[in-house]
Amino acid sequence: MVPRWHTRIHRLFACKMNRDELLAQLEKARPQLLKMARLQLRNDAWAEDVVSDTIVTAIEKLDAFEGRSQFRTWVVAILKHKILDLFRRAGREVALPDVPEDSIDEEIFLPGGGFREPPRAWADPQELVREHQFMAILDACVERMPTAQGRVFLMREWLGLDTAEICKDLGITTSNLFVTLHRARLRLRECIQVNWLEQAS
Amino acid sequence: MKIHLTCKESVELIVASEDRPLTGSERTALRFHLWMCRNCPKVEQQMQIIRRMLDRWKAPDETGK
Repeated sequence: MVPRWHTRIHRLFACKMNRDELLAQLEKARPQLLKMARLQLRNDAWAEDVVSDTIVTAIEKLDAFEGRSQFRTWVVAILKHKILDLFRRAGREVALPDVPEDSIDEEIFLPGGGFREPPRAWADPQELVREHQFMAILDACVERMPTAQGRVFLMREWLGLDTAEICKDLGITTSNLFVTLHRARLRLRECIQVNWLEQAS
Repeated sequence: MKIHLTCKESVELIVASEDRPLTGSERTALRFHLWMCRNCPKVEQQMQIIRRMLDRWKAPDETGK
């Protein structure tokens, strides 16, 4: 029979190994966390702060990680929570009091409501290689969105908030939000259109 | 809502449906427009591709990227 102390030490050792491995994974996840925080917040100083805060919280709560989800998913969930907190505390400062000017509608449509240039059908990125290319374009296009549009768009698409929550957190009206989301989505489509067609041909 | 939409109005509805449910009459007007327009169905197809890719983009962990 194995003595009790042996089992206990063994368990302690296994636990420590696990902890070191998780810490290493945490360090590895940092650039990705920073990238997402920058995209969402559009402010490098806030992004650095919120990611440091996330890593500290993750280390403190490491024992609470039960391995039911992927580790990175768990850390990203903490990051999202921290960012949401920041928006709720600083909502009115980061919000857009007025919808900034954006001529995207005029760029696409004639005054009568028809297309300036007829849209072309996109090649559907079915195969994995094409999918990676599309993803890279999507990434770059989201990054290129104007500040206010990008923030609101990612609150919707990445933080996964519904429109009522975004209005409340940022203290903006529903119509402002919808105009901003509309323009963000059209900008994204326009940006992908240019880059994806170049790739496809 | 009127039954004849311009392409601009139709695209507005295609885009809006990402963030809110369309009303019955909006859906009807949009379907009607898409049925007779050569251009707007392409925008609808593009938005569907963007939707699918966005879903993967925002959750790379779950798809094992």
